Amino acid sequence: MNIILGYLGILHLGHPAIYGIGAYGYAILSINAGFSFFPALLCGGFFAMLAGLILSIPALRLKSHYVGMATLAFLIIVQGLLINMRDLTRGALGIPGIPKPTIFGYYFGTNTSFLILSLILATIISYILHRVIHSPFSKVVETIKEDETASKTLGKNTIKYKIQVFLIASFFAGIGGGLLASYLGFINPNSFDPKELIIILSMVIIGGMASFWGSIVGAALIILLPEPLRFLDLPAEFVGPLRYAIYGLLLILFMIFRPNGILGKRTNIFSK
Amino acid sequence: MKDLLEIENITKAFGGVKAVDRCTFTVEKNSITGLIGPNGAGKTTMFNIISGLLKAEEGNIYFNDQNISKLSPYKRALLGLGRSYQSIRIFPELTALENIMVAFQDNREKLWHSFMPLKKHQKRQEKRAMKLLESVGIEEKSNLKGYELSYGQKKLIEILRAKANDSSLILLDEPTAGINPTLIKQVTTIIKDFQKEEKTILIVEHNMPFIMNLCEKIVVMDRGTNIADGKPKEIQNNPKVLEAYLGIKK
Repeated sequence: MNIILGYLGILHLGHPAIYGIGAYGYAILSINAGFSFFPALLCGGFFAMLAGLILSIPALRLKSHYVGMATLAFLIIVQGLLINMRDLTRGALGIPGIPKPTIFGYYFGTNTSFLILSLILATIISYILHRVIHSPFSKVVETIKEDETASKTLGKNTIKYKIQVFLIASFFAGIGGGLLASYLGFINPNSFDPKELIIILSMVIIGGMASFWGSIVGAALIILLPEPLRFLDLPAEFVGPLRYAIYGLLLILFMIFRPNGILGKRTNIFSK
Repeated sequence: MKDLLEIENITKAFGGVKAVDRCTFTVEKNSITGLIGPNGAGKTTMFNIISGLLKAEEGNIYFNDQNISKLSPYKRALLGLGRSYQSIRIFPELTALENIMVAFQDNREKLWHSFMPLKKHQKRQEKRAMKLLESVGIEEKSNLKGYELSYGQKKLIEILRAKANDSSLILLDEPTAGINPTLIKQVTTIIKDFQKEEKTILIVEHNMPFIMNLCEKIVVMDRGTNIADGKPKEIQNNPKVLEAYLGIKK
């Protein structure tokens, strides 16, 4: 999401749907078609990329908040499909028994081994994204965010760049979704509902938009921040909503007092 | 000399208002041509139509004998059509150097280039961009972000960007608006240098001494149409032009 929101400046609210497609892709292929870990994960990424392409063609014709509305509608449509395409997705029942990865005969069944695998994959993906973010390609993408008209009159095919950014972001979101499905072992449509947006947006905005390290810092912070709540003697039904309340409050505070986030660049996305 | 740009019967209306009305003129290759007219005459609309940001309802635009009327702005830019804007449009979050570098045509900016070794190429591009900044004496500002530059520096960067973009026709929309006389001299020198490099320049401007001294040909627009064109002296004495500007008949 940081690539689309931070670097391209497009308010893409359909992100949970994209990584949901990656997660379902992984789950269905590994359970129903017997795919092993990497082929299923990559196919999930490609399904997500395809969804990103389908979404980007109409959405990128829109401007500012209308893109946000269109992508949010996409999220709701995908959720509707996940619930109603019961033959494929088992609807609201979700998909249980998603296998943990087995690579070259080694079963990543424990939390520690899964953490190591996730760290390796995250490092590879971060390296790829780091190269993209620090390339002339990324500079052109930034020009589109800052002034698309000027970018066009410098000979940049802005639509092509935007679609490419959507494809990259969707592919890696799909991979993330597949990894999540594999870790949890169970997914249902609620795993990818609009609530997830608050978490992802919080990570990107609090960490800092258009900053490579910003997303990593933001993600770590958002995941670790509610952990102390465990030690408070609060009823379970109160802790869940309280987490979201904290994220919401933080988002509002950051947008008022530090809209650039912790490490982000000056941006005018929300004033467009 | 051959015409590089031919504007043929261009018409553009916004609702009931015809901003450009069957306007026709030509721009000679390697010339400096001025496009003048009172406020609201349709000059900037014409620039936007030429660069493809607005679509004309009627008429054709020929660039290097090619009909570009239906081409998108980026395709026109790739053919060699560059421009600056009335209200400056440099990229505020990019440094002065990056603002120039991003305009180079051989920028290796495709997605797959991200995975190629680019350091040497980038160094060369930086040197090229730095030379351009040196040519206008703002090399020490190279690392400042666009939003940190002064108005005049932004103007210079925007004009340099058209050069970096390797445009054969450069459209300059009010290049001297809001800048001091020293900077106006500098802009004049840059434009003359463009001509020496066999580029063609079309300027929209309200600064009459500037345009009369610099241009070989002037096109005058009023109420969306071309009311006169010719050498600066001919234009100064043209009754239609005096009427358009002063509202009186000589």
